[in-house]
Amino acid sequence: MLLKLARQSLWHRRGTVLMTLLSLTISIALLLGIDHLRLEAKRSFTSTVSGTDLIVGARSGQLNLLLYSVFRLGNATNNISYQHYQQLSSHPQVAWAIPMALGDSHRGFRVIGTNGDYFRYFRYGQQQSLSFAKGEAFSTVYQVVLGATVAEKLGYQLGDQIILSHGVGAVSFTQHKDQPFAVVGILAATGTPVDQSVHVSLESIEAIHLGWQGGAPGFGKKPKLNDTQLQQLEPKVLTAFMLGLKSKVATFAIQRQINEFKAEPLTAILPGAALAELWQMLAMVENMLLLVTLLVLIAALIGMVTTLLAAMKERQREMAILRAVGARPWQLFCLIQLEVFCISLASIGSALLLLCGSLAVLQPLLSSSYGLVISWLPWHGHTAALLAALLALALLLGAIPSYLTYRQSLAQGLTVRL
Amino acid sequence: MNTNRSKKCWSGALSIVVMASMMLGAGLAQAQQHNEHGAHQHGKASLTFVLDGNEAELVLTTAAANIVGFEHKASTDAEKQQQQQQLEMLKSGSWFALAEAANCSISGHNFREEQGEANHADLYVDFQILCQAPLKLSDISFSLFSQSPALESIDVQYLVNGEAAVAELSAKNAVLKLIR
Repeated sequence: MLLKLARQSLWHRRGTVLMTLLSLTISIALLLGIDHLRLEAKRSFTSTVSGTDLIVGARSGQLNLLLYSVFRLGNATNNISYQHYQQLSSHPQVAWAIPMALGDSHRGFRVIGTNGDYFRYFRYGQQQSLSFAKGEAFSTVYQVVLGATVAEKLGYQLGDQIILSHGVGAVSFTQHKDQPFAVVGILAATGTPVDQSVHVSLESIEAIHLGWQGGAPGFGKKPKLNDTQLQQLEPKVLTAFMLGLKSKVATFAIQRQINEFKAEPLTAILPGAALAELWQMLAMVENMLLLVTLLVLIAALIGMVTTLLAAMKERQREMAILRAVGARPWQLFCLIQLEVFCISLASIGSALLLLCGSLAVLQPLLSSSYGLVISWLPWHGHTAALLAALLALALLLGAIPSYLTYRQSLAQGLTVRL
Repeated sequence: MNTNRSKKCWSGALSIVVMASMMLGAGLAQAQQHNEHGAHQHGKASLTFVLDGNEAELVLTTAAANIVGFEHKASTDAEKQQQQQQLEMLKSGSWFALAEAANCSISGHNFREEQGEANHADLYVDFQILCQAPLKLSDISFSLFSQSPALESIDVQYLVNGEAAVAELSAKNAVLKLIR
């Protein structure tokens, strides 16, 4: 009975109610969206690298090293010598090492020079290893293994020939045109930056830069390498490498040894600790963002109360008639609260729909341009509690117009004013 | 005439620059090793803790002044005694306590004093620890802040069964709660 009344009364005032609903929907979607993105970004970042004990690069801050080596964001401060990589990776405590040489790209996707150990030892998510959707790992120079997104976006198949460019921009004017690469493998999707990477061997990186001087192609025709020369190519520099240790207890000791390595200034980081530092730095921004969103939400709720209060005047007669036909004051209180509840619930519903819809639309974009894999379902353990708190807040604020209705005397509404 | 002289002057200056840069280049090429100038911070120490299975290791690195209380070379008897006492305290491991329930004991320790430049000494101490019930190791409390008043905070990086995290400890917040 009350529900029917509430519904029909709302329908009667659908113009203003719709606007209230819209502003509430947007602010709830904003709140849930920011909360969701925050958690999903954390999850996505954390699952990008797993099982790697240390990442080693040239001396720099740990965040910089983490970002360029794992997330392919930003650039290295310096290169490190291949000889020192060999020296450190033969340390008795080291179980495996993955070398990485960055700095080239293919149509906006970064190229990583590495070796077969990358496919053998790299782990992501819950200790999952990389697997091939098609083909296999590269075995010699001029062969390339593509990440899932690269292959899909650029429509490459096994056997296709591609050309790498120097530098990491989307459009490059210096291309390694004379040395095409053949696609020999395509990795299965991982939901990490690996999907956006183009993998070649360290020797290939060496081969395409052979004869270059000072970061530019040398003059004259480049000497064409024969097979034996290709076999003899030796990498000289790397950008970074990942280490897996035999015993986790040794982690900090090895980190200290690398940081104090005399032959070259190096930095070794624990990916987990570097990520934790990143979250600490971002916590402030996160909290500000949540605070702003909460304020927007409260503004929207106050807006709802304001429209209800404004409607009180024109509804005096309606309320009085309800009282006249026998409604108790508490029933009127409940009626208004029910209206508030309906508006809030409808807003939450449409906010969730809006969010799911926009996430589903934005998902491919986020994953291809930022390497962030965001689930389209904005629901977490605490979301129900959050929404319940939101409803409670709405009802609390809604109590103001409800109480005023409750207080209103019968006479006030029925008296015909002139 | 005038211009001629200035030209000569320029070429002279240029050759000096070239020579100097060549010398500098040679100097750099000879430097096979580099010296580390680690961050030497007063009031701050850094600590790493790792637990894997039932083995653990706890390492503290700090400027000597944080522990001893002064930076200059101990000269008077009182200073020497204070230095001795504080270093013994640091080596004994009496400045931290692992949660009782984990039933841990120190199985070995190393101590190193690294003399930096201009009396800036750094202390390094590590403890190998064995725990009978590592799953119950929920926290580590530090009494170092009261034992070494010059110490203000400790930056902690820890790794418990593969999960890394960071924390900052101070006199007011001297218990490291291990998240796992």
